[in-house]
Amino acid sequence: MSAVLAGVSLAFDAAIFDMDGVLTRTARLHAAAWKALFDDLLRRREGEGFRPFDEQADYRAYVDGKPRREGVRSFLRARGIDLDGAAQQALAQRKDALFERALHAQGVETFASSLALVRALRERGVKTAVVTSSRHGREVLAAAGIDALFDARLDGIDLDERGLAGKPDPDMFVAAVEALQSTPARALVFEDAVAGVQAGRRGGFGLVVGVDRGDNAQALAQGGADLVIGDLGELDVQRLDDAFHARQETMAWEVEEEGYDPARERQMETLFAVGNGYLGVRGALDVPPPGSQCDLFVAGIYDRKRPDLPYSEIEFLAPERGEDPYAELVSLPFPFVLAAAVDGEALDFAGPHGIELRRTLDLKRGVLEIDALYETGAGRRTRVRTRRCASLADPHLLLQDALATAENHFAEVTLSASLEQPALAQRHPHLERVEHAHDGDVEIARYATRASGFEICLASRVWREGEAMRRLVSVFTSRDGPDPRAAALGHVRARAQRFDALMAAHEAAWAAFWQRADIRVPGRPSVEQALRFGSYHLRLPAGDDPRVSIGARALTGRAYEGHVFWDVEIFMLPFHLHTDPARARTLLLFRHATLEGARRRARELGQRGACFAWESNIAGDDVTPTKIVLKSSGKEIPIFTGRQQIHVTADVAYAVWRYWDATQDEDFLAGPGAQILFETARFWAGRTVPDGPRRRIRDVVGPDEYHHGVTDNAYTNWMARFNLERAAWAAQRLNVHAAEAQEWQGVAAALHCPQPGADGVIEQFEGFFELADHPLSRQERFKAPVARLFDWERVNRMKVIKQADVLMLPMLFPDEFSDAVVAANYRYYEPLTDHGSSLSPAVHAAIAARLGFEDDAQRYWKESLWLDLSNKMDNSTLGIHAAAMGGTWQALVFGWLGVRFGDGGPRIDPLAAQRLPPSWRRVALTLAWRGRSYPLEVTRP
Amino acid sequence: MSDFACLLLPLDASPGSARAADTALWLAERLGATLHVLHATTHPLPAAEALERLRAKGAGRAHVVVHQPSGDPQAAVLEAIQTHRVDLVVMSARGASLQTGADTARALGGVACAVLERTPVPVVLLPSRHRAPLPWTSMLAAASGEPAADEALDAAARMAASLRLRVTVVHIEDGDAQAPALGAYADAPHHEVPKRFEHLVHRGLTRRTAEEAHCVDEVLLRRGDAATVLLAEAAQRHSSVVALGWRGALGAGRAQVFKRLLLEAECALLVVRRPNHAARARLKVGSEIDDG
Repeated sequence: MSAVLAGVSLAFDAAIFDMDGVLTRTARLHAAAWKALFDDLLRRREGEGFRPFDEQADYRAYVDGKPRREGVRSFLRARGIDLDGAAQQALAQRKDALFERALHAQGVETFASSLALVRALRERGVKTAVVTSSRHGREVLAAAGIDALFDARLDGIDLDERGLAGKPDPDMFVAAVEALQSTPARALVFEDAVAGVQAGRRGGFGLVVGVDRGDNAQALAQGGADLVIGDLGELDVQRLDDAFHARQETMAWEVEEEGYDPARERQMETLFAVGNGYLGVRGALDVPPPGSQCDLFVAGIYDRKRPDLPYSEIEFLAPERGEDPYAELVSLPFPFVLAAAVDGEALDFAGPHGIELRRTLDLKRGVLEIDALYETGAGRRTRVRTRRCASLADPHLLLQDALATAENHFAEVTLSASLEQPALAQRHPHLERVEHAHDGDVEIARYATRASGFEICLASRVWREGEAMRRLVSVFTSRDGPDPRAAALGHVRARAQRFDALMAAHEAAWAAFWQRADIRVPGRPSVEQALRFGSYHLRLPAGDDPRVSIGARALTGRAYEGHVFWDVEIFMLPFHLHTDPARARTLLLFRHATLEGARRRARELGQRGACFAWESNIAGDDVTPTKIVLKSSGKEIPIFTGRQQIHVTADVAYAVWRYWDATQDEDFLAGPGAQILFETARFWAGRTVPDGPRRRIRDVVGPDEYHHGVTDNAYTNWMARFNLERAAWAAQRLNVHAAEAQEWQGVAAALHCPQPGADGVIEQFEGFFELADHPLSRQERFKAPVARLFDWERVNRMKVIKQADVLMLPMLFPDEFSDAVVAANYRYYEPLTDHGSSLSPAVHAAIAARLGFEDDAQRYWKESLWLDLSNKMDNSTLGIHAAAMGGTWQALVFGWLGVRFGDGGPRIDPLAAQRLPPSWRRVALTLAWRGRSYPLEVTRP
Repeated sequence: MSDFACLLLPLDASPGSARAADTALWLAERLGATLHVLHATTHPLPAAEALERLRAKGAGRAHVVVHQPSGDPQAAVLEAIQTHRVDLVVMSARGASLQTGADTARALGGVACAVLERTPVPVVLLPSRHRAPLPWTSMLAAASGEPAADEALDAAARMAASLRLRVTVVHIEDGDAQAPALGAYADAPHHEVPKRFEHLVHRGLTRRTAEEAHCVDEVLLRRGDAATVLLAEAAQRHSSVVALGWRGALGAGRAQVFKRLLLEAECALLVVRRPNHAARARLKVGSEIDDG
């Protein structure tokens, strides 16, 4: 609930104030007490020549805002003084006594402007709290006569009693906001100390205001203050509300990680990937910690499968996959490796020196920023800030810059970059090093893949601009031209010294993308952020090269080995189709380019025409294994999808038609589009078998992969019929293959496509209704046990399904089914589904939203929207779920908004306004349709 | 020198407690560690004599320091862990309490309970049925994806690297009833499961060097009840020690796997507690940004 007094509601309802320096002027008393304490100590230890405690610099750097004992420890460490716990405790107590004496002698001054703001906030219904590390907090408030201005008070005594960690840990602020019955996201923090500002930032507070009482503005801003002011008199409630909204706008454009957790590092590396369609680089730290999976992937660079690393024995084997030269996407050496050192001591965040880490992905600009603070010997603090991107304007180009700042010392800080890859054989087993050399000011690293024979060249050029290190890396491969070395060298040389302009071009390309693709949900920054994150990751792997498509985990992880599934055409393609149709065309051209592979595959299956691979490599060959074997027990688990999940062939044809429908691209239809439609129709004409007057399709796996060898899977048959009909339509339109077109029409008409029964339910495949019941437990939903894999025979006989199967039909053919039929199928199949696939929640969200099943729609939508971007789940360790992101986009556009296309362009379902999630006021987006961009919006009435 | 530079062996003059002495001395020697032998007594003896009385002879090349404080044994052990910055406690699961028959239902004596519940230090615990010979030859470690298991695998790899032991990691799926550690959305299980499986092991080894991580030479997937499977695998492989993470609570219904291993295992247990302050990384997403 927001504060709503005085007519206009505010976006926040709680405000937390630090005491010393924000409300009261006790900082001076504290600084004087610290000085008396430390100067006495230093004099005794070092004699009269000692370097005294500086009431400005030392106060701010070591003791300000910290609990007393922490302050003692921090200053002593900085001066290299080693005292035991008891002696430190004695100093802390003496400081306390000195302060108390001064407090009673001099009284407490307050900042009138601060108190005026507190009062103004309270008048607007904002709850207020005061938080201080000082054990004298309550005494000081009482002495100043202002304790009645706060609904909650926490001081150093509470800190001890409740075992709360001191600032910069956010514990105290979080305790205060809980006492105010609010949440950090809805609360403001006012702080004058850097440690306090950091605590506000780490705690995820809605707005952190830094109060600069003198020459501290930059440190406060760097510590995480959203707003830095000299005095609270500069603010009023309205300005705070504006700043709060501005901060929300910013947050909705970035994904930020605070802290470091080695067990989650691979997940973070996935989420923070950068890329541009040509290549993708995981978001590893610039100094990759041991165990980092800091990969560079270049689209189209595949090689023969290599044994899994790093363990010599792994439980699972796919024995027959040895020979395909394009079996897996190649992990290339991380191009952003930096080395940093202080006085010769290497900085590595996973080592003993890492203190603070913030990794921020700027979605608007496609830039990853990493801010790492290290502490080395004698308390020397060094901050290393880096930026990197993969240029969206120039796909062969990577940009990186870095700045190392000594925060409190004069020791030498060095920063360097290198393409050296010491453990190449171990970390990148597909590669042989061809060359590592320097050509003038350019460093060159050249590799060759072992089986596929690609050559990859990286050329890096580093230079200094002021304090900063700047770097360009150009990447070319033998797929781009005969001499990748010359290309990379020429490319990086031609761009030297133009860092800012290159960065600007990159940012402009992202800006153009967002103009077409951004979706606004005002007032819900977390939803906007997650949608943008999805669009960002859908854009990353989509390039201009029709010889490549998008693997299941895009260019963000090694899993799925870069194999291309139906995910592209059914789940991702509509996003591109309606934001940047050229990308959709490129993706379809990949299927055209691999038609020969699909023909080969059809022949292998004893069929005519073209059958696309279930898991396609770049040549169009199927790289699905037929079994996996448990090494330790010898148990074999067969995999049926490669031979039986043939619906992918119709899925490609469906996408061809969708593309034509949305673009009216005649050239495409007449050329590659028609060839795909015809060849796939030829496959279906043979793959369907006569059974009396009807034709049927036997031995398939539908989208629900728990059942194999089934007959007349509704999804497969409907899609095959559509494929046949569209091929016949195209043949007539282009006036070709008249006899075949007639045959395709005939087969389509005879093909048995399961229809709604008396209860409206469509049988998923022949005999599904007779399978054994298996009531799903709560645990099994969304977390399908691995048992599904081992017990494949038992599961095949049970009424439990992996993902939307029949429910795919109203998703792809929304107007073919009445709401009553869709509802009947949803009610029947949804309880049988364990969502073992990440593709499932989005489809369920879309269907539930269409039907107005509000609770289900929201539950599935949230599941899908935050599938990767979540603190609770660890889903993205192996790479992002690009198809789930595309599905989420479709659930919004076609589910919640019910968008349909007509002659006038896209239009939103008039009922959409009523069924929007309750916390959404408005949704605004742009959709491309037949050469035009249509801004659309819907506002809750 | 290994990460285990300082070992503690608490003894109480009972044959039960002395069963840990050989293992402790062997570990101290092989790890190049100092072994603190602690016996709380009101009648201190000269060190050599004390060791003999405590049935802890044969110090060999290990550096042994004997402590004989007076007062409560539990308090003395806890204090010694702090004072000497002990990296590893080696002890028998039950000492004198085994002879006196006190609380025979429990597989753990009072000192062992205190060490396990009140300190984060890893413990090599010798259950009452322990009979695995020295030197140790192999280690079995359980991986579950929980922070405690990660911590145990980390300790196992550190110890195994110093002792030059091979580690077999086993992950046990509990079948349908339990939420699986291998996670949600196994879209194409033949892709996901092997990779997630690898990650399950990787999580525990992120702080280890490549060399240490290479101690892990086998990773198994087993199904069934976790304790039953661990006991069977340990028996079949003649594992010298089983590394196990636990959450830090021994109360009724807690730590079931650990308790069964205590009762039935014939090898040593390396017991590692979930870290108190797990490393924290937060993403500013979802409810961290707004709560609508």
